[in-house]
Amino acid sequence: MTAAEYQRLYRILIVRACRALRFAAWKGEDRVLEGSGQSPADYVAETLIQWGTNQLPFTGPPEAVPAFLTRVMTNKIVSTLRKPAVKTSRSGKTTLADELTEDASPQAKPERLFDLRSLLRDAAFRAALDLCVADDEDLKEYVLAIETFEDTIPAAHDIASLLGVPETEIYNRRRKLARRLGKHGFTGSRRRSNV
Amino acid sequence: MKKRIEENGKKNEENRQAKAFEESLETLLGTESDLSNEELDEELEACGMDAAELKANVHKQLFDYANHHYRTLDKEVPEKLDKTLKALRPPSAAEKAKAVVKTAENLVGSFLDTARAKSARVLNTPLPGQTRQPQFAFRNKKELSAADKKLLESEQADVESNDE
Repeated sequence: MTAAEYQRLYRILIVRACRALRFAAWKGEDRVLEGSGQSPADYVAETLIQWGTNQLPFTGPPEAVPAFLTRVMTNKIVSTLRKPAVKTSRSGKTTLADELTEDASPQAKPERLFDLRSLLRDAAFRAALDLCVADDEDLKEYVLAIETFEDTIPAAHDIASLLGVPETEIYNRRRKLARRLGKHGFTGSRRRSNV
Repeated sequence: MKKRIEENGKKNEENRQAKAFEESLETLLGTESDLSNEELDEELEACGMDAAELKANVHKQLFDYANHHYRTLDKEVPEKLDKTLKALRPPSAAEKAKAVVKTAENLVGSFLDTARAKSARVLNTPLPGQTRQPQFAFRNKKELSAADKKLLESEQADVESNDE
């Protein structure tokens, strides 16, 4: 891999880490984010160290590396978010379970945290999403279209054919939504984790 | 044996959730690898993240790891880690200064190009039609030359012939 490819790999990983932690921040705000204790940069560094020191078994072609490492890092984030024994103080320091005082906030079940349907039904996430799409009919329509697919995870072409727009339009709307969610949604989580 | 089965079960459950989480992210926001470098940077910027600070943070963690586990033990840093470190190395003060100079040069260059294009446009713009009419050409003239008089006479004759 060339230096440019390593730089691109880093960019893909850091954006994924930011997106994932942003989602986690909204989903079960009282529990999940405070349980993370790691910043996007921490997850990216940990993944790149494992990759760089040949600790990850990978035999595919170089072009498949970003997708592989993105999956590995997402697994790490999910794994951290599932840990009940570790919580984080608001300054981002890790606190062990026995150092914690009792927390009376409702505990969200981990299996509900990562599913698209439950995510869209989550009040905090939904409020943030609605805020992002409020002034944009195309984005509202896009979110509504995703919700229409009750039992499946729709691909871009499924959503495009439902809305009667070209597939590229769906990619454009996703980019727009990602930027808007970033703008509206990351402030809360940034307060809690070190960049 | 039982412990290993439990661990495998937990791992599978984690993988399943990670896959579901990944699908949620990609369905709503798309795949990161579909974005260009500029678009990835724009998204970080939209998050209010300082891209340079983030990169420096990741580089420092990798650098510290390489020092602690390899360099201080007089071991060679693995090739992939070394390449990643080089690719993510923050620019030195000299490189930063060079980049600032380059940006300034580009700005001045673009300013001059715009100025040149605008002045060329102004010079090539034809005069408004009315200034080519004789009444505008002669309005401030105090003394008329023979050629001027001849021109005015021909114009007058033209007007009179139109009146008839």
